[in-house]
Amino acid sequence: MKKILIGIISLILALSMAACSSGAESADVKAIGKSVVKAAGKLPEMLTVSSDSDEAETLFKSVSDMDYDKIAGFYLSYSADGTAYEIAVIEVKDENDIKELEKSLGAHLSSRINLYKAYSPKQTAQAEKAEITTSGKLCALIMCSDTASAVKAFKAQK
Amino acid sequence: MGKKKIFAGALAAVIALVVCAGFALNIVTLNKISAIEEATAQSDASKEDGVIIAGEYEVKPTTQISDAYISGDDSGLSDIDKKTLKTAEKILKKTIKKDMTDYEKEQAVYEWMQKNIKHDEGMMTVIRTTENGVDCPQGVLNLKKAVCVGYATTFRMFMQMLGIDCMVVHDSELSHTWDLVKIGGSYYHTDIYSDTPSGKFGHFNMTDAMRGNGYIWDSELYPIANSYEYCYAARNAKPIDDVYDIPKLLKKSLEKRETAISFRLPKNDEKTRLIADRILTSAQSRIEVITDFEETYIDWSCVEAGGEPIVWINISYGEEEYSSELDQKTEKKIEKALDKVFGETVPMDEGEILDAATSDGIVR
Repeated sequence: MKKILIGIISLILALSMAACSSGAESADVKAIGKSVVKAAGKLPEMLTVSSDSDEAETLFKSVSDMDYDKIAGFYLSYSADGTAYEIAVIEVKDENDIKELEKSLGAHLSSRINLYKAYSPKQTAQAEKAEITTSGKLCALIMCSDTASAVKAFKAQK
Repeated sequence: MGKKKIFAGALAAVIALVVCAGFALNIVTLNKISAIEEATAQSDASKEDGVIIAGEYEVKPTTQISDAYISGDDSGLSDIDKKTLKTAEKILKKTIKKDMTDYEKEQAVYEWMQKNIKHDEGMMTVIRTTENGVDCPQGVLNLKKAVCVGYATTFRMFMQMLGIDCMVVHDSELSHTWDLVKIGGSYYHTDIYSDTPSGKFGHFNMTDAMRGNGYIWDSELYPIANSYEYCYAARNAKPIDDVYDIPKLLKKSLEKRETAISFRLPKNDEKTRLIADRILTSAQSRIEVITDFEETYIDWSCVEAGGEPIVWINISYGEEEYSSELDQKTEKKIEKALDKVFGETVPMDEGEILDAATSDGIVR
């Protein structure tokens, strides 16, 4: 009977562990982010934050309203002067959540475009050219002068 | 029998734990949702004051300071308001002359603010780093920087101190604020934030039609602004004989680094307006490829001012934060010489920035 009991508890523990981390392997989001930034063309002074930060969950809310528990890691580089330059690379734990992440980044992009329209119209055109793209568990928001090269760099990551 | 009981008890405990955890998670989620709903409901857009713009900046009353200035009694003011009143008094003493008209007073304060108050860039960055006080005169006159709410409330305070009626307008999306000021019995829209730092008079004393370009506001809360008497664009519109002269005149204005220009079209018909619009659309793409004007942006609209067609153009030159002692041409020459030898500028290695991150994750 003890064996059965131990077996059931082990099974429950194993199942709960699996539910908590259905992500298996995790990509090096920071390295991917850096390579996308390097391909992004001329950039102004950029500030960078990532999921390594102690305030990661709070910082993440600046770009997405998605539940942070679903996020495996993120890298965010953005212009220090508020101009339309922003590179975000985010990885979800479960690939099934990628659409939700893509949608939340879309909402963030819309709000940035509206902000530029209201306060800095000159930045609007570049913001409107921004792209949101996905690859497996990764999603990127790319707003820069050379979007095509940056998207290419993102897609080249495995 | 005992073993069965132990087994059943353990199983019940595990199930109870799972159910409780689920219940607790639901409560946390519900609390989060209601907190967001509460924050959204807090902003009452049907009032001039008390409105929260961009989810962060509250439009606060300023009459306590202007009333104290007019009455000469500051005994009811807080220490910070007393300090603000003193600073504002000094500014008015410097900028306002006794024989000025209301229009001239308005223009003098506008020019002082446009020159001396800088944008708070922190509100535009993805992760906001705004300082406290950039949305009210108490902070703006001290920090010398502001967000739109700070510009609008500070300007309103000055106008109220000068006995000129003024309101802070917010758009229906609660994303922007500016002022509605009463000059010569009529109201005009003035948006100093949009004219700072380099768009002087681009958004000074506009009509509803001119301001309406992209903005909607509560027309029941705010009075109509449809007079052209003190409208800057109408008062300063240059009459032109031929609509095809616009490119030549625009080029001249660009060379003079003018920021707000307006033309009175020779004919008040649809075709002339369409031609003017087409010329300016095409001009924008041509200007962008000229080296000296590559970051120049023009914004225009055709409006009717007292039955006359006016083309109103705002120009921004893209060197807003330019602070070098050398002129722009010399700076460009220096960059070219450096690029020739060292190659084009490459961005800083992000790794270095990440390594320097502070505990809150923001690199300063």
